[in-house]
Amino acid sequence: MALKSDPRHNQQAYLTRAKGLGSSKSGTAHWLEQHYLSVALIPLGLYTLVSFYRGVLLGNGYADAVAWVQFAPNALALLLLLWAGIKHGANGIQSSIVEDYIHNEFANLAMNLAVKFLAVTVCGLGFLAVLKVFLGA
Amino acid sequence: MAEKDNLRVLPLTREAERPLSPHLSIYKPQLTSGMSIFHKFTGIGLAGGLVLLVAWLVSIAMGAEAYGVFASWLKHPIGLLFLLAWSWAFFYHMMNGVRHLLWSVAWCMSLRAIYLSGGIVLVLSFGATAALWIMMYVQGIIGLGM
Repeated sequence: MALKSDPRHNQQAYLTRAKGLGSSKSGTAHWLEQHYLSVALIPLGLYTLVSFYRGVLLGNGYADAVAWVQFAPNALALLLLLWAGIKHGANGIQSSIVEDYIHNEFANLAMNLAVKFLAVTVCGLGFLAVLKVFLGA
Repeated sequence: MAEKDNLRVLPLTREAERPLSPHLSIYKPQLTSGMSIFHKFTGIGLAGGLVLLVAWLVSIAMGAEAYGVFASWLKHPIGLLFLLAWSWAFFYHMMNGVRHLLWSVAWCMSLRAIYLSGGIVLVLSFGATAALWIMMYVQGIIGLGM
């Protein structure tokens, strides 16, 4: 691979790589992941919206909300939506907001960490809630 | 030369501050740049909305009382306004996202197509939001003076 940061092709790159500069992974992988997630989110989002409208909004309060989550396709859609949506959102915020607009290296790192931690926590909480209701615990 | 006047002397850990050319103040507002920045804004808004979705799910898991409190916040005018904005953000970000996906396979990349598809995304996103909320009103889910 003839990347500029590859030390085999560029002597100067040894120092920059040692300093931890340059891409932390392949840019292509990140780009692909975001695109796969966005494609997946289209049917997930639309399905959840329609089913939420018919199940919860047209329904009667708490009992219907519980029944809506306990319906297996809805629970599955919710879990997948949470995972894909939060991953897509966290990736987007990191690459397009934090990386683009925060130039102080420490603040950049701190924000990236905060976004990642928040994403995992919120996702875990969402999973827990859906599973608790779905399993009727 | 009074170069020292242009440079603030800063601690060794930071570089001297240098003046930037004007950017936002001179950039001509266009549909393309506007839609791009709104794609970012709606993305952030949707991420916040996901947190609220999780909060709603947690309120279901916590029982009827907690759910009732949460639902009453959403039915409050400010809650409804938030939901209206969020639903628009959802449609806009999804439709503009499709526009981005088309660009990824090098479709609709002429300037004319960019502007046309941009206009379509705008019209459809507002249209879908309006359709959704009109439907909710017609079916009695929301009412004026609630």
